[in-house]
Amino acid sequence: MKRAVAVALLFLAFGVGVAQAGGGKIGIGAYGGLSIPIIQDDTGGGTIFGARVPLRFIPVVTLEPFYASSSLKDVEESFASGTYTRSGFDETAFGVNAILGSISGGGMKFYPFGGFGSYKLTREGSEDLKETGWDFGLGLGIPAGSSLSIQIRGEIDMIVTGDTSRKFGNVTAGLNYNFPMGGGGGSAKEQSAASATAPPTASSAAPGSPTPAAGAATGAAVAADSAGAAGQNAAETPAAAPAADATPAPTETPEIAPSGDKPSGGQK
Amino acid sequence: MKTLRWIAPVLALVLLITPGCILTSGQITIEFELGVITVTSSTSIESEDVDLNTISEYADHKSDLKGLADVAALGSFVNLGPDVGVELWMTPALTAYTTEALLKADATAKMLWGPFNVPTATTKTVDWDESARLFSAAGKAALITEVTGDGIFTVYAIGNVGVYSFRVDNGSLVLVLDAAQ
Repeated sequence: MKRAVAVALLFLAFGVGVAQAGGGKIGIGAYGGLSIPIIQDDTGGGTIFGARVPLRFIPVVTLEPFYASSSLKDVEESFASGTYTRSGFDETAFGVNAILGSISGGGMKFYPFGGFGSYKLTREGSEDLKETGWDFGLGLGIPAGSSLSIQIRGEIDMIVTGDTSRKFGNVTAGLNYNFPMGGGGGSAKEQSAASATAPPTASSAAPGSPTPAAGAATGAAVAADSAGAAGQNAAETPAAAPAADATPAPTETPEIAPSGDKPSGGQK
Repeated sequence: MKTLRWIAPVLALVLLITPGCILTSGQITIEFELGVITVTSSTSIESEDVDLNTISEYADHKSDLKGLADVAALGSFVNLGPDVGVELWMTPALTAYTTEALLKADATAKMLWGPFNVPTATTKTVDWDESARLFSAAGKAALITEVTGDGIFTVYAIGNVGVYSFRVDNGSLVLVLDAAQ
């Protein structure tokens, strides 16, 4: 258990560092909801609470270490010998989820996720159950401000117990806060950049000035910016020849009308 | 919403790689009624034959059973003699021993549960949590063997002292079966 916690903390510290260095995103969230046992006659449902730290290093996947705790209700059963109560489980879990895409920034986002972790089930009269568990589900991220988002999720947790498993359906709602990152970029930059890993210098460069391409996609974006800026410059200074036109403008000499009319055309 | 097109294949992949028996499993409670068991002394004990196949939930899922998630022996214990700790024993085969000595002489006999202490002249009802705690590891293992086997065995109630007399009213054996397809 201690080793697992140490590994998780090491992973978290590493993830934060990589996210910060690589211009990724890091957040923190808390959540709560309902945990409902699936085909389990000997335990009731209850509430679940937890915390998670979404770490986004690359655009495709967000990794999310989590901790969860639930308290399940007792069950009452009637037998020939009377009505008896069996204590429900207390569950604690920690692990990591992998989320497809980003869960915050921009508009509403649907996303699938899956993960694994270490689960512990305890109750009166039984030995503690410590097993590996798996989870998967769907989530919905709703922006609630520049750095906040509401996360609504439905998931199934499967705690493997030999050849079978104990399964729980969880429905949770939570609030995530995204820490502002120097290179992380806000939603506007994320939407305009072709790649989220584009270095910040590309977007902060002066219009029209060439910048080195960081990648194929970034190079295309920069080229588009440069062409656009060049076009803009040409519109603002009509006397200047277009940058792409290497042919010098012909020099016109004013016509001298025999009748003394004013010359037409010519240089401006 | 680029991730939307990935949701279906990701979920399909999860279902494919997850073993089916883990995905389609559950914990189902069944009860076998033991009725009334009267024990007047160590030389006058009673047996109760258990046939789990008479319980529909067991018969329906017998081929899917993987083990026991939880087990308890419930009922009211009426002590008619001195202080006693009640124990439950079983034999895998159907037997009809009438004395404690004969029962313990059977090499296949195993102690399932107990001792549940009942003071003299007292009626005590065991609760589910406490009863689950009283099952021994060997007893659970023996029950798992029976549950996943033919489901037929014999149960005895005896005392852990030399002289005892007690009755078990409305006794029942509650099993939470681990089933998976």
